[in-house]
Amino acid sequence: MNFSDTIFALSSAMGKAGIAVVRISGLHANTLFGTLIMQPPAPPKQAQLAQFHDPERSEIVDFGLYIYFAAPKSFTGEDCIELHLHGGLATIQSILKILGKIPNFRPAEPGEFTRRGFLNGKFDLTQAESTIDLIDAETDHQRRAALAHTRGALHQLYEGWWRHLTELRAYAEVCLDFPDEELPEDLETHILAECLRLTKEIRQHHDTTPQGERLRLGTKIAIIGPSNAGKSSLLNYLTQTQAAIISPIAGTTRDSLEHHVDIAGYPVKLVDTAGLQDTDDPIEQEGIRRARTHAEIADLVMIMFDGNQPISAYQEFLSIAQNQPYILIINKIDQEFNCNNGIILSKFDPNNTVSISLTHAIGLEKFQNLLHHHLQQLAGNSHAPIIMHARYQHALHTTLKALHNVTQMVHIAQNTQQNPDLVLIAEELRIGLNSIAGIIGRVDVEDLLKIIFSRFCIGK
Amino acid sequence: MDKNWNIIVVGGGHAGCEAACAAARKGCKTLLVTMSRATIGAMSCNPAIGGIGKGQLVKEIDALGGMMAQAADYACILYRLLNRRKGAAVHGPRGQSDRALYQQYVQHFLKSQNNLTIAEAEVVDLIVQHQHCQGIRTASGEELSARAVILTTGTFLRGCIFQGTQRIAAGRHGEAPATQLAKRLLSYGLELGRLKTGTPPRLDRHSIDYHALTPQLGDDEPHYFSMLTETTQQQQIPCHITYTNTSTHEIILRNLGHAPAYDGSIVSKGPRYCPSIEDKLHRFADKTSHQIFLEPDGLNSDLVYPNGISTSIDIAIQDQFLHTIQGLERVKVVQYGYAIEYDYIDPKNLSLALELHQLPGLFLAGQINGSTGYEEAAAQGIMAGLNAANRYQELPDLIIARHEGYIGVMIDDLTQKGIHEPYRMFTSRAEFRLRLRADNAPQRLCPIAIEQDCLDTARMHLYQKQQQHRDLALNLLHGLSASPHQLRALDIPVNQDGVVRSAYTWLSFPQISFDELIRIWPELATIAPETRQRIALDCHYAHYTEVHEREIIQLRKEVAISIPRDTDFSRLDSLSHEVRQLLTQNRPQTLGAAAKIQGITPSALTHLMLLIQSNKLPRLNVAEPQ
Repeated sequence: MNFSDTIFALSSAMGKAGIAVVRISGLHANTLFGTLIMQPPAPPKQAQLAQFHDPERSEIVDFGLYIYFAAPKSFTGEDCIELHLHGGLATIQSILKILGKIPNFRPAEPGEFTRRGFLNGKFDLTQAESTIDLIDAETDHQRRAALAHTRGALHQLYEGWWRHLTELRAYAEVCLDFPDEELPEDLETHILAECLRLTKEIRQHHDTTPQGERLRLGTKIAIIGPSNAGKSSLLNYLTQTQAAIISPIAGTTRDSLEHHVDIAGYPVKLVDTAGLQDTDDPIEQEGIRRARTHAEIADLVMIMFDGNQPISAYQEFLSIAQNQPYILIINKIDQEFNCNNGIILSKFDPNNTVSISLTHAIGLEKFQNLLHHHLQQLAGNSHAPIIMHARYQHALHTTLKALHNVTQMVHIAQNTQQNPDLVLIAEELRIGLNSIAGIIGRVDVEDLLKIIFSRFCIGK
Repeated sequence: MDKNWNIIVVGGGHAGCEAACAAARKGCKTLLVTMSRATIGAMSCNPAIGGIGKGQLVKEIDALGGMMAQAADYACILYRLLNRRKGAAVHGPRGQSDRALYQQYVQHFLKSQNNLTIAEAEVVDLIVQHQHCQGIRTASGEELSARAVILTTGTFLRGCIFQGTQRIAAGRHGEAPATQLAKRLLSYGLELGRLKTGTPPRLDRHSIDYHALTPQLGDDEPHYFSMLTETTQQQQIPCHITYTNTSTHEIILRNLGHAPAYDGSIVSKGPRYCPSIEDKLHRFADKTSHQIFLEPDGLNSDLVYPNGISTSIDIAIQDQFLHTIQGLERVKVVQYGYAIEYDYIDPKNLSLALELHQLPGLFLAGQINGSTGYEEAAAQGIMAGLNAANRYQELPDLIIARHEGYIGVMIDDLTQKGIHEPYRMFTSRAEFRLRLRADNAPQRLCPIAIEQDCLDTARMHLYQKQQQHRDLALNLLHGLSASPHQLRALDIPVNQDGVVRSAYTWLSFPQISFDELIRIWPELATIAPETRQRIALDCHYAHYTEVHEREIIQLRKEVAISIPRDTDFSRLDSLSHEVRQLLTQNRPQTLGAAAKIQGITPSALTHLMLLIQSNKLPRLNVAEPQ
């Protein structure tokens, strides 16, 4: 049996673990060789070490093992690849994100691997009996996970859109199924206006994806600056005085330390570049280059200077500040200020600048406020629901595309003064609706008819 | 009379007639039993065939070799293609029928059908042996045996007419209901529900003042129902349109207490899409006017059917409110409107072949299954007839899939989801409607009919000719190609991307019509206009139908895994109570159907799959007569 979509999912439990297994199954699984996996396929069923590559950014995301199962000798009966990644959440997320961007790839529905395996006749009777328990465990876990989401604010939000879209589709359908009735004449304009409104709302939510990721996995903050600026002290201050230290975990692919801390309710990953610069490395340029790499992958950069030392190579820091959120920290203000620095510091945004003394606890409150403000911006304020799930994002993306197509069709028709093909508009609305309905698990034409008959007086 | 038959059909309405003819066409010795020979093929309600969704059903019946389309063409006095401006996928052919001519055609058709005998009798019981239905018993005590029985009782099962405070036991105006049969069905453990429908008063044509009314004319180019029809057969006459007004509404609202649906006598559900005028006023109080189509009953008939004011209000009030309507100021009512309540059997008890789970050998079609409409009834009729014949001939069931036809959508909906109100076909019910067009019904269903050996030679030749033309045209279109540059030279605006495309591909561009193609390649003019149109439509929807293709593949695989009909879902101990209940209520017959039930978890589906494969599903004990 050929399913046209290639599906993927994290097959080990979500959460921090030594190893995470991502499973990919389908007709196009092989296309990963040469793109994500930079080598030709290993012989089937043999573990092979490889680098996993982001083809878009041309950078290595992780290295680990993979096992290739050639169809039909796999769990699903299709070509399968299992990636054994390092268990960091960030790594898993980046791999899933890369997979999601490949044409014909989509996140697997709960239990879908098992279903494909079954439909391809991969289970004989005895195997079938013995896998029941296993399958249950799998789906139970997934159901619990899904339930936790669907009960909350997200569910309400999606159900609201589902209702609106159903209503919108009802408006199109009523024109198609009851042409001899006296219907309002401005239905088309109404559909267009509603489409635009919904698009805006859904897009806003859809675009919170980075916020959702930060809320779930932690906002990444890099502390950079010249040696002896006080970066270690700042780190100590943040990890010791501030919050429950979750645990300092050795980075998996990077030669730096990540400290997981909780700042004002936001999970934060502090990337400590202090280690780099506290060595006696005479080549400061190399330090700056590394700091820059860290800064680039961080959500927020704390640039730290010693106020009484002359600042050199500030251009590098300035260009970082121009490209992403930052806080400029002038440390050691209890000591004499180096007047030559004034002109350099004035090149940074004063609203993002604080002057402190860590040793004398000066200006720390202002620093804290500024930090909280940034975190709120980056990880979203908790009042608005945020996408927490790749599958939801994928579904919403489909809905947005369908709404876009509807507005295009209406616009073209209006510009050419022709009737749009209402059937195709209804079809796009059906696609968009089904996609959202898939998240909350409601697809029924009865809901549609209920709206039609309650809104319009039908009955010739 | 002969006592042994292959197939017995009970009922001579739209379902019964198609069922009987289909079984007879398949070579089965068939008996149609009706209470009154004279009412065979009667149109009980409005004198029209087709409409949105319904028109597609008629075309599909025709492609399967059925009768309805030819009858509708024979009797048609006003053709209208609905949704003409709204996208070809939902074009709905509709025709006003001359009621007498329609009936005449049907009766003649049945009479000349080989293998078919008609008998007049009231059926009061079924013969059940070894838990199988094996025949019928008539009121006179006669027993007739058959391999399969098809019940098409319409509104006759314990039918009861309501008119003001009056209630009369009747299957249709002036005809006796089937009461005993209903009682016997109950005794076989079948649960019966009640539904209602209604019909408007019939008016005397001569008492209507047409001067002030807007006429509605037919199409200049009529769209025929049957692939065999080549010309319009009757004189064409218009309909007229009038409206209710606030005085009409006042009278009705003041007298709602005299309407059975509002004084509490009728509690059963009527169709939401075909409400009585009482319902319309009650539910849409702010509307000051409702449209009425005055449909002629026939060329030589004095009756007029006012479509839009179905009512069961007291007859004195009917007169009163009619007289407030423009054109009807002095109207004479020939027969007053009424509501009718009747028994139906929950269609979830049926297999996809329309056979009862609890009583194999018994097939049901039409309103007894909770549907409404002539076309819906006829479509189930032809399918029940073909499947009963297959049962006799020991051939596999004929099941039309949801992507193959509206017939498939309807039967799947009825048997898998059940009904909440009388079921009518809507195009919105068909998720693959872009491919289920009225114009391509032969392409979709003739191959099935040929395989089922139920297609006459005339249709078969016509279909084969159409396909030949299509294949030739497609070859031609795929063989020609042009660059965007060449198109621009002919003033056809396309994106200059330099890609050379085939004529077929260019046709899928919205701005390029077939006429435009002929400008580029004059040889394309040899393609017949009908073939051109069909191919152009295929191209127009191609982008979407290709996506559907993928959905269908998945659907087909899931549908392919069937769940045995006699599965006792309540004893599936490994599933949660909730899931067991959902399955028991819905009785899915395939894995695909189970997947569609709200609340069925992936894990439950997987369980079900495992149990099917290991043949460990618990089975039902079939009902015994009590």
